[in-house]
Amino acid sequence: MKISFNRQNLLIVITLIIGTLSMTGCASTRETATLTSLIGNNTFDTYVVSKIPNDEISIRTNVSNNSYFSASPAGLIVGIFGKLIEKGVNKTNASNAEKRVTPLLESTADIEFSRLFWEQLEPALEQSDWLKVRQLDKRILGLTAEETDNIVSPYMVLNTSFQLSECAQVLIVKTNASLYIHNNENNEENPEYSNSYTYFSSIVGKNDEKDQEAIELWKANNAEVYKAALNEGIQQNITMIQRDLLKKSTFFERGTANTMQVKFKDPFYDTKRKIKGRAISRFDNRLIIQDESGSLISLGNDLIINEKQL
Amino acid sequence: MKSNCNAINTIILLITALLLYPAITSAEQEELIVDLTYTPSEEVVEMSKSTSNPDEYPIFVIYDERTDKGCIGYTDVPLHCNNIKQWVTSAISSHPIQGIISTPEKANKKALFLGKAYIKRVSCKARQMNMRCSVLLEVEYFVKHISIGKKTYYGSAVQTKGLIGKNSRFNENKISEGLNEALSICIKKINNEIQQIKSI
Repeated sequence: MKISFNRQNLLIVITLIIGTLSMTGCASTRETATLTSLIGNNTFDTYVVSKIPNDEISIRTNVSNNSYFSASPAGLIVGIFGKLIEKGVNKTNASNAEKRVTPLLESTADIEFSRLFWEQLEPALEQSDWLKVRQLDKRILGLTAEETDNIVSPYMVLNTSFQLSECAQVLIVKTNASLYIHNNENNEENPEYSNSYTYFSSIVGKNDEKDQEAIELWKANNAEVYKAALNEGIQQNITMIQRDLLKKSTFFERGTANTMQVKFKDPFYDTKRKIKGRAISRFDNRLIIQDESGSLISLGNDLIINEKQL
Repeated sequence: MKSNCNAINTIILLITALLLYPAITSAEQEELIVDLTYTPSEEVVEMSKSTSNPDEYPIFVIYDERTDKGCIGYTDVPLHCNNIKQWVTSAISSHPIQGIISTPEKANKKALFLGKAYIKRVSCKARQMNMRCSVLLEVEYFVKHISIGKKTYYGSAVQTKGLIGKNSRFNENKISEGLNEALSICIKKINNEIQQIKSI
C-alpha cells in the first residue's frame, strides 16, 4: 500500500513527534514550574484517591506482542500462526508464573499490602505543608469516567502496585501520582503534576538463586525476608512521594542539573539500563536517584553495576 | 480447485476475525456483575461432618471486613459482586461444617462453640489467559465464651481460557468456578480445625 505524504500529513507527523518528545522528556520540568507557581504559600484541600488493585503478590511476565499481519494471503497465514504461537507462549509464561508464586501466596496470605501502605500514607499526607486531605478514598479500581467528571478539584490519584521481577529475585513496589489542581475540560489528561516512584529491593539470596529457588528464599522463616522488603518498599515509596511532592521545601529543589550517571540491572525488563540524574539520598544499602524525566527510583546497591559523577 | 481456494480463504478470514475479536469488541462492556452461588468442590462434598448431632453444630457470626465491598477485582473489565456475605454464609452453613449462622447479640448468649468469621479478601485477577481467584477468611474461635485463638484460611485457584478472543476475558461461570474452588479450600481447612478443636 502506498501512502501519499502531502504537506498536511507531514505537519501532523511533526506535531505528533514534538508532542511525544515534550510529553516524555520535558513534562516533569514544565509541570514542576506550573505547580511551584500555583502552590506558593497556599494550601489545598485535596481529595486523595489511593488505588491498590491487588493485595496479592504476583510474578511479572514480559508479554510478547511482536507478530503482525500483512496484506498478502501468505503473510496473513504466517501472521495468524505467529499470533497463535505468541499467545500460546504468553499464556504458558503466565501459567508458569502463577504456579511459581503459589507457595509464596500461601505463606503470605495474611499480609494485607493495602492496609500496610495506607497506614504509612495517612500520616505522610497529614504532614504535608501545603496539601490538606479533604478525603482519602481507598479503592481497588480507579475513578470511572463519571466519577472523574463529577470530582471537585483539587484532587490527587495515587496508583500503587507491587510484584516480583520475572525471575523472582527482586521485589518491585511502584506508585504513580497525578495531581489536578484546577478543573478543566480535559482534566484527566492535564495534571499539574505527575510522576512515578519505583522501589527495587535488593536481590534475594547470595548465589544468583532464581525462580523457584528465589521463591523459597522469600518465603523462608515465615516470609521474614519478604515482609522486610515489602515494608521497606512501602516506606521508600512514601519517602519519595514526600520528598518530591508533599514537602514544599524539597519539592522546590526539583529540576536541578544532573550530577551522576548510574548503570544498573533493571528488574522490570531484566536488562541493563543507564540513567542520568541526581542522587536524592544514599543509605548503607541503597540509593534514591531522580532521573532526567523526574521519576524517582530507589535502588538496592547490589543492582548497581557502576556509577560516575558528572 | 477454485472452490478449495475459496474454502481456504474463508477459513483464514474466520480465524483472522476470531483473533481480531478482542479489538472489535473492546468497548462493548464496562463491568461484569457476578452473582455467586456456593457450589462445593467434590473433595468438600465427600468430607465427613464435624458432628452428626444437631445440638453440637457450631454457631458462626460472619463479618465482611473488606475495604471495598462491591468490587472483587478485574478481568478485562471490573468485577462486582453484591452477595459475598451470603455466599460465604451459605458455605459455612452447608455440609460439612453445618454452622448455624447467628447475630453477634444472640450468638454470645447461647454458644458453646462459636466462630467469628471475618471475610478479609475475595479477589479475581486475570492476565494472559490465566485468572487467579482467591479467598481469605479469618476465624476467631470461642469455646464456652473463651477465645481460643484466631486463624486465617486461604484458598486460591487458577482458571485458564483458550487462545481465541480477549486475553483477559473470563465469563461469569469461570469466575464462579474459580471462587467456589477457592472458598471450598477454606471450608475444608475450617472443618478440619473444628474437628481438631472438638477432639481436645
